Amino acid sequence: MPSIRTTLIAVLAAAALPGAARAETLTGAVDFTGTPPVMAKLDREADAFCAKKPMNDESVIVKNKKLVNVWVHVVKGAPDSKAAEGAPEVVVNQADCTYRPRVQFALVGQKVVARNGDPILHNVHTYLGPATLFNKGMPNADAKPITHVAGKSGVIRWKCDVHDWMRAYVGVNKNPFQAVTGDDGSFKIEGLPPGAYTLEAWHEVYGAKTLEVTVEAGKPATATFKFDGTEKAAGT
Amino acid sequence: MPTKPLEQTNLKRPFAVLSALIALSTAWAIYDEVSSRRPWKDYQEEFFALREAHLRADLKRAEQRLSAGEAGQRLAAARAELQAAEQAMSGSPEQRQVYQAILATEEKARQEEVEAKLYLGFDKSKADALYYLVREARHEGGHGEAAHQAELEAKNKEIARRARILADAQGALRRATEARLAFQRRLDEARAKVDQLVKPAEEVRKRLASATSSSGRTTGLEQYWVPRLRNSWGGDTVDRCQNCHLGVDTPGYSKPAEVLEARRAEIAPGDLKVQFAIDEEVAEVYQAVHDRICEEIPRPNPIVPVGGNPVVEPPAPVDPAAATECRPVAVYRRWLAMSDAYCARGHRQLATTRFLLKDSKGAALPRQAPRGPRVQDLAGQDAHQEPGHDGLRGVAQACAEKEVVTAFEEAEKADPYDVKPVFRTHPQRFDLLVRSHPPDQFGCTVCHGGQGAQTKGIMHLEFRHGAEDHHWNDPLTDEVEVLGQKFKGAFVEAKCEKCHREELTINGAPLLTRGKKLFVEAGCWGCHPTEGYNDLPKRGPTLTGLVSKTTPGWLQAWISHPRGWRPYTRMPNFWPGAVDPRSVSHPASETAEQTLARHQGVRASEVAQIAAYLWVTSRPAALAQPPARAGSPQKGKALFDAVGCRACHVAEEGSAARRSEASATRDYAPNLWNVADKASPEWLYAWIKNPRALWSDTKMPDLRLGDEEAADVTAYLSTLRSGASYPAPPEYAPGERARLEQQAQQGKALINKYGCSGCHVIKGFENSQKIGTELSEHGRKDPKLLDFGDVKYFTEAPEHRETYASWVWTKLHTPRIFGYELVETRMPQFDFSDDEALSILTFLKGQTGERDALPRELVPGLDGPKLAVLTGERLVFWNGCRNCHEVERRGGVVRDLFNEDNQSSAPPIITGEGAKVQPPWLFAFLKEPSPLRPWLEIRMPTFHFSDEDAGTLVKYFASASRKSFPYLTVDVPRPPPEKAREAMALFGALQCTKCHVVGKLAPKQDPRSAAPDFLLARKRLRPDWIPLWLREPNALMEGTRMPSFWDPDPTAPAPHKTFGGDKQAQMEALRDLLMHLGEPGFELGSPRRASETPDPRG
Repeated sequence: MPSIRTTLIAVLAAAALPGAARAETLTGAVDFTGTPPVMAKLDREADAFCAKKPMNDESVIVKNKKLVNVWVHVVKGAPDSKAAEGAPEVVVNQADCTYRPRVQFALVGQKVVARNGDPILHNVHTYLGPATLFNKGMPNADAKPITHVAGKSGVIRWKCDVHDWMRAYVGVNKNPFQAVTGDDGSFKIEGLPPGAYTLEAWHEVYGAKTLEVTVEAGKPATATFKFDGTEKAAGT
Repeated sequence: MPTKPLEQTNLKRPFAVLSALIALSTAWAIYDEVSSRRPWKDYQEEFFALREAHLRADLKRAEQRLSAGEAGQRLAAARAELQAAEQAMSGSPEQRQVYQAILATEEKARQEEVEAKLYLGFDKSKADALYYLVREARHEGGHGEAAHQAELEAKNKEIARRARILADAQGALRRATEARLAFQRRLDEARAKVDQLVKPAEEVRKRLASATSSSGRTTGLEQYWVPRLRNSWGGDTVDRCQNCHLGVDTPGYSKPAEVLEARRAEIAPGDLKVQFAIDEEVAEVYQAVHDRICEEIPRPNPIVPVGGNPVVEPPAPVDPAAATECRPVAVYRRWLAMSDAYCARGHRQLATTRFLLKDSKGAALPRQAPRGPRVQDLAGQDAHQEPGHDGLRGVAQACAEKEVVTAFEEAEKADPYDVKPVFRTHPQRFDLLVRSHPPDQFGCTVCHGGQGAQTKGIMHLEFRHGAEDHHWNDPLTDEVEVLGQKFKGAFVEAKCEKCHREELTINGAPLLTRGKKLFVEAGCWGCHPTEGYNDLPKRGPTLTGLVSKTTPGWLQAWISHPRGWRPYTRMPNFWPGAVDPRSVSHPASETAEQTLARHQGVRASEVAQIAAYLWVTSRPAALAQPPARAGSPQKGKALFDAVGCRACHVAEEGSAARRSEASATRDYAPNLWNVADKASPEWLYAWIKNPRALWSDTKMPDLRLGDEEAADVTAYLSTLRSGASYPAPPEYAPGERARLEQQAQQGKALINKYGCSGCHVIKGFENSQKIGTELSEHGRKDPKLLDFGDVKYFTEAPEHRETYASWVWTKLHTPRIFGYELVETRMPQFDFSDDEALSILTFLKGQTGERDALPRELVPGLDGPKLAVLTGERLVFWNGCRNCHEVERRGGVVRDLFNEDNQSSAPPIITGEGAKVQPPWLFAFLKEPSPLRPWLEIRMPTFHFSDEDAGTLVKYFASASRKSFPYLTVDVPRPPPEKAREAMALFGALQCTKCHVVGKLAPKQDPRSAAPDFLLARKRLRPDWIPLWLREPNALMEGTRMPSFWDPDPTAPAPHKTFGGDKQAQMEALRDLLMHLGEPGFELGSPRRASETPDPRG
């Protein structure tokens, strides 16, 4: 008898699962309601190579009242993912004395790789909170790429101590439901099973905000975060 | 009746009676010996049963682990593999077919090898014979030589063929043997794997067998006999505590709270097993029970952030309407005991916060704290009640909400912990007993006191560790009772002081450590001569230049009540009765208001007289002249925030961010939020420029501010005022000089009486003595020699209440309370918190003067590196090095001003400094610091160390890093030119000078990305440190901006092709280069030439 019951449950579960697994897409945007700060020109004169290409600060980019480079991710409601091993590497490039892309995301366990495309020395100094994760020198474009396996969730901050203005961020999450707002300040998270989630938006200057979102089967879900420019990231 | 001669008397009866008596007394003696005089036997039997139960449970778990889950599968697989391996060698004919074939092949190969060897030997002999024939023929005239030669060559060919056959045979034999051994290896490995998996269970089984064997269950008396340690009678220490405290030196009987604490500290699972000898499953169950019955409250950050740690909210009161489930008090007592076993010190026990206590009629009872009255109430008119032992007097039942009661009932069911306090493992067994104080070498009473040899109570009394023995003057230190409040283990810490007097920080004795530091910080030794503390510089400022510093109005307000103006100051209150009448003794006829008024009257006149003397005798100080330009308060504030003032000072009212290392309720350095009330701008400027010119022994260092900078900081500090005004008293009017002089005369007598010169330099008191009681052996003081005055609490029940601890506690809190008509008490009131009082009480209890009588080998830190470390630690503490630096793994308080993004702008970590720098350089740097790190805004101040102190610190750092001292210069040989060129190429390729400065900053270089000057390396760094640093900079200085170029992984490639890609050679070459940089032939030319970069675009 028990075996029949077990089988029955398994069958029922299998029948129910596709329904539960029916994934919806969450779309949204990050509105910026305040006055965007003016991004000053970076002082890159200290290094003759960097000085050739003038650049502005990119810490706050607002386009059409939407905030760019915000890491949006599910912090509660979704199970941890173990898919990181097969996932492609997240690459942070150093080119023209800046990191590209500036804000990215990864899964816990996923490989994060640093490459140097410049003919000059950069050091890749990464932090998780105030603690140094690793700090390695890359003297030129021939330097062997550095591979780091993201171990904990949180924001890995990247900094070059040779060129003080260089910053990048890799948000590491335990589940794959995450995105970074694009040039239009919008984001899209696909494959979310119906359920209740806590969503967090993190910006390098303005810090984190959370939002409760319910995803219902068969309905597209949306979420809109609002920043007004008075917020401050913790630890700055 | 005629008497018969004795020899004719029948003595049967007396004999019978006497033998019966002897038999009886022998039987009684045996009974007494075996049973009633051996109460420890019962303990031993009980412990044996407990041990057996625990071992059986351990065994059951170990076996279950092996039969289920992943471990079970692994064991099954390992067993299957073992069986397969066995069968492959000795199973049925089919199973061992392959093995047999291999054996046969091997045998055959062996025979072939022997045969081949034999034939080869034959052929070689034949060849020798032929060779002989060839030679003979040659000598005989060459006849037949050619034929023999041909024969020999044919033979040699044959030999070569035979040799090939032999080699083949040997190869075949080797392969066959290898194949046979592979079977054996497979078997061995399989067996080892099975053994490995069943080993834990096997070990428990063995331990169980020995515990249940007859020898394991035999009771018997054991003792630690330590002849070199004297007990309080002057005899050898003989301790028998372990006969009842059977688990004390055995892991496995620790309180769950201790295990959970270690788990929280993320101790590795392996260590957890070694220290506590419990399975992870048991720890899990502990955790589950703990989570049900204890509430964790956030721990205060040891480095107090600006504004202090967040306040912990008190628990919400229980709603009487919801507390419907009631349990009898006996059950509740059990739950309290369970909470005590499971909740660590910093946790709230839900048993006390979630239960309402009710009497037999169901009326709610207030929870009695198991503590006596507050010190301030001791002299009051009320009769004092001794607190109940556990505060449950009159309680019939305890009630709570249903879920809470259910949680406790479930927790009790799940609770696997059944160890009585007497059997518990020593709470610090691993750190104290195993690592540093093995009981067979130190005994127990050396720390715990009590009668170590005694094993039962005197006469019919209950055994209390010698408490009844009036000849025994070393009471058990287990628990200190102060005014009915109990403090576990405080006086055990006091016993550490016996041997560890020279240590300022004693691991495992936080109370004593705080007490020692507080004793120094509060300046107790200013009045009380105390061995080891007599040569410290005066704790308070020099008062000979007051007229330049402050105003008479402020001076009087300050002396009257220092804490009224600066709440966390060290300066004590000399007229406590004028603030709180309960803090002084007073006649019963006087009301509180009358006492207050009387004391305020005395204070007004005494303060006026003391201030008059200080004012009249002080002379204008020679103040440095500020620059003509007025300072800018904004710039001053920026400097104040940046250069390091805030490592020691705060300037916000009530901020707890810079409290003393010894106490959470005392500021490390003055809070400057209202400093302009007190100090004139002229004086502030001169003070900032050179503190030691105005107070030669001040701890305040010199931040080497320029004139303009100092003027800016002065301007900022001058804005910090409270708004209160301090008008000059009338006697300071120009025409009243005579009156002031007259007051000053009386003031001199008062200064003498109160001993102000113990802490301050005052004119006319240059040769004054310390006025207080000597404290060097205070801890041995008999309470009968202490005067408890008329304090009602003590006079009510002197036999119980007049204890050393209660006297010291009361004296520390309210020093004037013990005075009466004949006895005037002069000690001022320091407003010590309970925590501070307990720390100082522990410190005083430790002052026994026994250290010099101890055997030398037991006293740590008498000489060598350990002494250097202890001596240096005192200087590090006194000068507040840890306010900025992490020194030998502790400190770095100022880091709370730096955020995640600018950690590298914080002062450097100097753990391991002794391994890094050359002593002569460090000596010179300490004497006169020069900027090393161009990117830092915060500065290393000049402490104006004496040569002796600077030398002590250098030796301290060397000793702490286990480096020899004095340091012999190791000459790094000049690298030969070709090596130097290669090193230079590497140096250029790694672009070291992109950050590192050579002599001075490069043009346009941003100081924030700069790194230390390479030209300093030669004189500053120990050469052996450089390769270590290059290999893993972050391991030596956490958070450093210096990247690593050489991956410690040996398979990873070197960063450059020089030196054949040998990583170690590259690092050593750079070391050699750095140690000669700047010498002729080792110039870098223009500072950044080495890093000039090729432009890929042109």
